[in-house]
Amino acid sequence: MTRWGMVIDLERCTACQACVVACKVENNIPPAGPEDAAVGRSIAWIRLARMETQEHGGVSSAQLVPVPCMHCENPPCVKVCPANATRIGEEGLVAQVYPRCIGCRYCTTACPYTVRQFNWKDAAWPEPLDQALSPDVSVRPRGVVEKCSFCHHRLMLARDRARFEKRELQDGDYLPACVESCPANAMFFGDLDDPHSEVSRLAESPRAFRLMEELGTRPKVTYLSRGD
Amino acid sequence: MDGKRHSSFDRRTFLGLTAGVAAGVAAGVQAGGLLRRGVLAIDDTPRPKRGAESFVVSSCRQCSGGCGVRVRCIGGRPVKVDGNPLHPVSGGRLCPKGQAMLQSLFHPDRFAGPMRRVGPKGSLDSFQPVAWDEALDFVARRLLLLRQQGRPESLALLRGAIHGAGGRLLTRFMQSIGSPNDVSTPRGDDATAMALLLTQGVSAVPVYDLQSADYVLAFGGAQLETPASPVHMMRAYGRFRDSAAGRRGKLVLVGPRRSITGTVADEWIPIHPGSEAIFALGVASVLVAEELYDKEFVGRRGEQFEDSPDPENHHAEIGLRTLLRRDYTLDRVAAETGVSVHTILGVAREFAAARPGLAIGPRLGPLLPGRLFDHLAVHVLNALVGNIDAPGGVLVPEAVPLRPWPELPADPIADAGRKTPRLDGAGLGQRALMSSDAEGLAEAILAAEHSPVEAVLIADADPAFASLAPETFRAALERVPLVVSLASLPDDSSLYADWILPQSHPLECSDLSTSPPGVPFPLVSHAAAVLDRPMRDTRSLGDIVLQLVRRIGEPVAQAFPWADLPSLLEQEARGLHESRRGAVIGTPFDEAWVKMMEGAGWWAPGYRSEDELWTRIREAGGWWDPLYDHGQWSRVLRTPSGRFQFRPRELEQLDAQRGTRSDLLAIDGPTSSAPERALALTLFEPLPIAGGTGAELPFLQAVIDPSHEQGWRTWVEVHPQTALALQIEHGSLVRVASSQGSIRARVQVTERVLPGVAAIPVGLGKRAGGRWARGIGANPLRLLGAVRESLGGLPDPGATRVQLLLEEV
Ligand code: SF4
Ligand code: SF4
Ligand code: SF4
Repeated sequence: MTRWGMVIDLERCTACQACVVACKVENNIPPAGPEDAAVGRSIAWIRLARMETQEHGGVSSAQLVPVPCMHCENPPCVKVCPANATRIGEEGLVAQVYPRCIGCRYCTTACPYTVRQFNWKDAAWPEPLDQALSPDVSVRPRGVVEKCSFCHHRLMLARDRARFEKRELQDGDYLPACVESCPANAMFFGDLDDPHSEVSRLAESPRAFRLMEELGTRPKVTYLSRGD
Repeated sequence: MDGKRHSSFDRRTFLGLTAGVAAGVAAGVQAGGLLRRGVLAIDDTPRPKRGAESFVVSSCRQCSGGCGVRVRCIGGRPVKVDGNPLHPVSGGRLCPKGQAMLQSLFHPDRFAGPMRRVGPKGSLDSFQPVAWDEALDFVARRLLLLRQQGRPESLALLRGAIHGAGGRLLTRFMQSIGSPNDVSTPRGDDATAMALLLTQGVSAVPVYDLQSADYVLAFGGAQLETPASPVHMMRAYGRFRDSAAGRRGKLVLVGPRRSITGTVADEWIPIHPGSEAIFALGVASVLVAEELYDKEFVGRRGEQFEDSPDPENHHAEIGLRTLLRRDYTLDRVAAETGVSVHTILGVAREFAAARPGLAIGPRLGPLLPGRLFDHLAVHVLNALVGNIDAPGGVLVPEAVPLRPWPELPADPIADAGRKTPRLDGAGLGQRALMSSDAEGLAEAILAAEHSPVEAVLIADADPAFASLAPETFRAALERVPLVVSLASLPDDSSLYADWILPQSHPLECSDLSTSPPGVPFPLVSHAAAVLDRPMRDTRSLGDIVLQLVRRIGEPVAQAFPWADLPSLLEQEARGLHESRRGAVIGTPFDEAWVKMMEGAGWWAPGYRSEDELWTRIREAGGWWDPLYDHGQWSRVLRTPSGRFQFRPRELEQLDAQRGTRSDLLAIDGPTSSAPERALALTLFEPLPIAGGTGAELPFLQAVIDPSHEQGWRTWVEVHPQTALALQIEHGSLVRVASSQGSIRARVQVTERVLPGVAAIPVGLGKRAGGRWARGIGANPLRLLGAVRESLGGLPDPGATRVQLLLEEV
């Protein structure tokens, strides 16, 4: 079986946010303005979260951690959805089915990683910004919840390419937009079930940890901690 | 998604397949849409058009970093920009600015075409559209007139960092008209370039080879977030921390603010603002006292390390060793910097033990200069451990072998004009070490009764916003009789223009650019136009220059013997073939083998002719010569003695000239005499809006502060103790006032800064810049006074003191 997963090396991440912007462009996320931002309604499928740590000398410091959807193996968001609009789909990807979503936002509350976001208004792109929209990703209407899909459409494209070239999908054929962009090479993506993949090796590293593992969500995003 | 792999099969069939799948996906959504229409009676959700997929190889010009990109188009429409995987700077990666590039291409507020001012300066409402011919004719006539009057030097150019053909054409334009007043506005590399010039005699921006270093001592601020070439540096950082390969470099930040570089670093050593050089020399003093320095390098390649009798003055000249021992005692350094003796000793020992240790001078961002004193001291530290032109050390970039242009035609008017002294004073007196001084030009314009500048062209620069004296520039631009802006999107300086000749977006033009600062290898990047026609009625920078000179006529036009821009690019690229070195980017090569062959006088180009090379450069995106030869002493040590100057002689000569006393070791930091309650202003440039651009794009506005505490507004960071002393709270609105003016900002109480410091981001507070930038936040550059640091004469943003005054709410 294939189980897609991501590894983020915090030792390398420079908090540059190329991943954040790459995701917005790739996934047709509408531009938000200051008003939306002020009330926390500007959408981002991956964001940098601040994690406070206490360091030597008593100076507290924040570590900045990129947080996409964890594509949990045991996703609380799926359990609470009354409309079956979010489900754990092929190869472990937690998918959001927009046409089914009734906008009740149970899932946004249930997700312990707060990565789900609600479309409070109609998406708008002042002309000619709409010309850069990608046909690979549907634009979400008002009233539905959305979140990181691990760029699922890229999996379909990669599969097509592989099929066309009459070969199996290989490690590296399918990368989400954030991973492709990361200048510090801090993000890795691949099949966690393939013992030879880079991600499966890295996920076994002594530095590996997952966010809020204690909740039993079994995230498929692994972090590599910093340390000397 | 490797371009090479796909070229082997029939693209059309493949596209058919892709489109089928995409249609299947979208169908489900459509059904949802219908349902929704029934329930909510609203569905304006855009449905992006499908079409054939194609890729165009181009380059990013959102900053001067020089990343090669690959643009994915659907039906000819660009929908995504990523790094070109073959490109040696980007390696398939991009920074957030590069990722947001399409928002600048498709920005709704770009100029629709050329404009002429018909109302008062300062407002966009004052402009009226005109035809290109009318605009170009007018500007050309005025420039011709200046030449006819015998004062071509009254034309000035204010430019940003332009590494493409447009930049080279502008240089030639100024030369052929006959003006020395070609002025560059970004100052982020000034101090480090001056340090290299003084110590090594080389005019260049040094390169820091982070990826091969073992221990990096970063001073000041933004080595990772806003170095000269951000993606190149961040990729190097990834390799610096390559634990899979068994490497893990240690990064230490020394400075008054814990920047993002400091957050990522293993250690932050907070020091008093302005005491970076003292800390560096304190470390140097330990290296010398404990005999930890590289005696081989210092002895064979260095000069003025030991005391020596001065042959001319017949009295002893004190060397670095004595000076460090005399002036940089640990107690004194500890007192001046606020760092414990224990820490200084620890840093020095780690730095010396590393293989190699690299020190990087205070990098504040593309706009803000550091102080020469700091950069000199830090560079001396590198030399003490012999980390000059060595792997993991300070390298000197190699020149790019584009075919040189023909000589300038004989032209007495231009010759005389070029010989007039520069109006900005660069190269003379206090500014002897500078090659240009933008703020000096603005002052010169305001100082005389009539502006000595009759006409100014502004290209890829916005001095009325992004300079160290925005208000001075605003006043200066009000005074210059003819201001021509080449902005693509309205910027603050274009508000003061008489004519706007809007440039096309980089993705609308083809171009050939040379190595960006910050990379050691010679590189030429080719950018293809992604759109067949510009979105608006705009022209490329190169075309604008060529069309102007044609109108000005002989002999100026004679200096531009190319039919058009494409033929210029092709001519220049021929030099790469003639250089008999290097390769098309992406060519796999075996370093050892190629070096050996080249050493033996062989060169296997991998292409048969000049034409084939040109074709392949355009396909792949560029040419480079990846082999850096370390230790080419005659190239990297070009002082008269051919040695590294530990106490640059040139400084003493300068002192004699300008009557100053700028001992390398003089402690001139603003560590004392701050008035009651005044804070040291520390400016920083967040990557998304660094260099004064980026705030125009909503995706970048959204990520200015990576922790998302702040966005769409200007904030001021103060330490909890400072907040307590001033009785201000997190989130309060304050007026930040300096002797020059004041701005409004939200208080962020944080331990990221030291007590006594007020840190404010640069890049917001535009008067123009389109709907997402106009009126958002405030511009702290307006707070800066005209203070200059004593050693290099550079404007010194660090010398500004501010007060925070609570605003009534
Ligand atoms: S991270 Fe949140 S949204 Fe993603 S699968 Fe887990 S619970 Fe669901
Ligand atoms: S792109 Fe990479 S380095 Fe930048 S914030 Fe994201 S994970 Fe970190
Ligand atoms: S570093 Fe500069 S050139 Fe490279 S992607 Fe970012 S903005 Fe573009």
